[in-house]
Amino acid sequence: MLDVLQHLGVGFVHVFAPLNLAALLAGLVLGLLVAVLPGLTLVMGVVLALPFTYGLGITPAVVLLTAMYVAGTYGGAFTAILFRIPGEPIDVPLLWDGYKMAQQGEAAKALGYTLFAALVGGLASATVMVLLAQPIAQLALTISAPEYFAIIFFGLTSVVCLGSGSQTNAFISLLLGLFISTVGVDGTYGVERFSFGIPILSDGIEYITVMVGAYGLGEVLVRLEQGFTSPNIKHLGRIRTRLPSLSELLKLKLSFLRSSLIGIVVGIVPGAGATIASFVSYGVEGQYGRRRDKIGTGIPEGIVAPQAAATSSVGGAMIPLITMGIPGSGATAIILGAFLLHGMQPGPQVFFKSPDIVYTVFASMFVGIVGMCVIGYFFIKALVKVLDAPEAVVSAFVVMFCFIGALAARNNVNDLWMIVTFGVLGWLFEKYGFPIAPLVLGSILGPLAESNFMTTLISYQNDWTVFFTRPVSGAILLLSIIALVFPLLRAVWSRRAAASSP
Amino acid sequence: MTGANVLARSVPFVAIMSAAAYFYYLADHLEFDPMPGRAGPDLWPKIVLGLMIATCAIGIVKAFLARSSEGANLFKLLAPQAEEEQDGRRSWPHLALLGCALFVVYVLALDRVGFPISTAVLIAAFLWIGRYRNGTVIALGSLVGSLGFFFVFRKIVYVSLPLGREPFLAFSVWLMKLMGMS
Repeated sequence: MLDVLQHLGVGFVHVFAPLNLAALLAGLVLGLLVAVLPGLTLVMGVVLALPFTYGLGITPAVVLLTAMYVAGTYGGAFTAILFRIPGEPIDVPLLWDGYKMAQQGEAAKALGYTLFAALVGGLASATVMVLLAQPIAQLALTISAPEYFAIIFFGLTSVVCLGSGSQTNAFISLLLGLFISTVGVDGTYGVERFSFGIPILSDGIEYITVMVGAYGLGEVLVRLEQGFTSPNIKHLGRIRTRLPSLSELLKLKLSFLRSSLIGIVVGIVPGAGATIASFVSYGVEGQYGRRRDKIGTGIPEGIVAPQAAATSSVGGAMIPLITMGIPGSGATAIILGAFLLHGMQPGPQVFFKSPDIVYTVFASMFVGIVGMCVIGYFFIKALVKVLDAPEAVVSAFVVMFCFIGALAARNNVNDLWMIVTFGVLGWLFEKYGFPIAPLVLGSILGPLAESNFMTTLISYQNDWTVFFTRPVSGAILLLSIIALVFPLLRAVWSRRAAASSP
Repeated sequence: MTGANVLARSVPFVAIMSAAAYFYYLADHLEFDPMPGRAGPDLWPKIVLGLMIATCAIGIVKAFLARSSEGANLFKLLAPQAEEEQDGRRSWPHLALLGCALFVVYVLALDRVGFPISTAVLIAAFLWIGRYRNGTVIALGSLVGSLGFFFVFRKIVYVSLPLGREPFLAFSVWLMKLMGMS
């Protein structure tokens, strides 16, 4: 424990090095702006920032992207509460109580509760992350291929069963992502698969390409189809944040605790992210909260629950990324990309090889969460003003960032074809109700899943039952299957109950 | 539900299923030296593609039973409120198609025309397709955007942005000199 605190102390010193601090500030401001703009999602923003980190060292690069990720869970709350414009899907639950409270003339107070929820949730999850990371990394050193495969399988199934659309479509999207990751030279035999002799396919399809195309260009095409709009926010008036009193906050202590815990747990689950944390936490507050009967009428619990969970999911999502190299969400996948681009593979070894980098990133989260709240408190009016930017102009620049991001990766114009292909695919997916998140997560976790699957089969003489007979992997796989099957069974039971009732 | 609707809903599944079947065939015919007692490089893709074909078949059946929108999952059980936020906005599919065409033309033109000119045209055309009609902003946005990206990524981030072929190459080189890039 002392060892951890010592490393964290050094991390804090490193955060205040000029370059790291500049990266942190830039990340916070960019994250808040991205979250405010409805045309830009948090993941899209982090993807677009990636090319700018190529010239930076690994620590400022990861600090910048992590700061964007944290701030991205907070900034959208401003526009959701003030104008009923959720900057991110994360912020949709804030419309139900946050916007209602604003309509009752308590907008400043609603923003104050949001600020505290982000602060408490963020700091709680950062603390849990620091405390759990090293023990989990040590545990990760002891587990072998079948358990790794089971954990990845759990992440893949959770993205299917926690999605908001059809489970069949989500599963197809996931399988397509897994298939995309098989294109190119196979890691075990060195055999070319599905490359048709095309050089860029022989090198494999980078998941960053899939992400930039599907999330970036795809989303722009969706918005283009819907027709770009610019919200009318000419009458900004007096926008400010009023902090709640200590007694008001103490009344919400259980909501803070519950939602922070939900956020951390959901964040740890690979495949789930801030949006799911936000919705689940709001749902739990509505079912088990002290004032559950008043949820949706503009009460502080309905603001604290989604916001605290969304921000606390960040610390949770960083745990599997840093300790096992498994990205749990879109944003952590890009952070993984930044690590890999700088020649570092996250996993249990990083705690022994590069503790200074890991703990600087951890410390930057503490500083970043406080900094984000300070910026949000003092500059809310300036941040909200960016909504004035026409969506068409913002989208045109998003397109450029996507193309340049693809060019910057390998300086190869042919990579642009990939981006366009996945952009069109992303648009078609949205159009036909296929979620994009499973596609992206499949392409990210596919190589890890395949290598651990093949390693297990080779190590255990093609005995696939080993996945179920080893206690840890068996338990995780069983949990995954239950998560997949339970909602289907419940739907069948409900249908039967409805049919049998007169 | 009409027959046309059922067909329309099953089209994506049929398309993905056909592609998966084709790739399964390719996986089945991969050339490699099999090692006795060891799974080959075809196994994982075949599992994935096999599952994809099976899931598409389920999707087709659901399309015929008109149940695809009734998908059950944990998200819906835990957060039923999410359903309320579905909005019914108008859509202009032809704009998205024009956008796709614009991206293809941009990638085709980039190597020949070079980054500065093709990007300026892309930004202006994109804004026009996006029904944005402020001429001053379009002109300024495309020029400043193109030159700004060119300067930042070529001079500061060291990305090798395409300069194009003659006569466009000469223009790109002239611009570089003007911006203090050798």
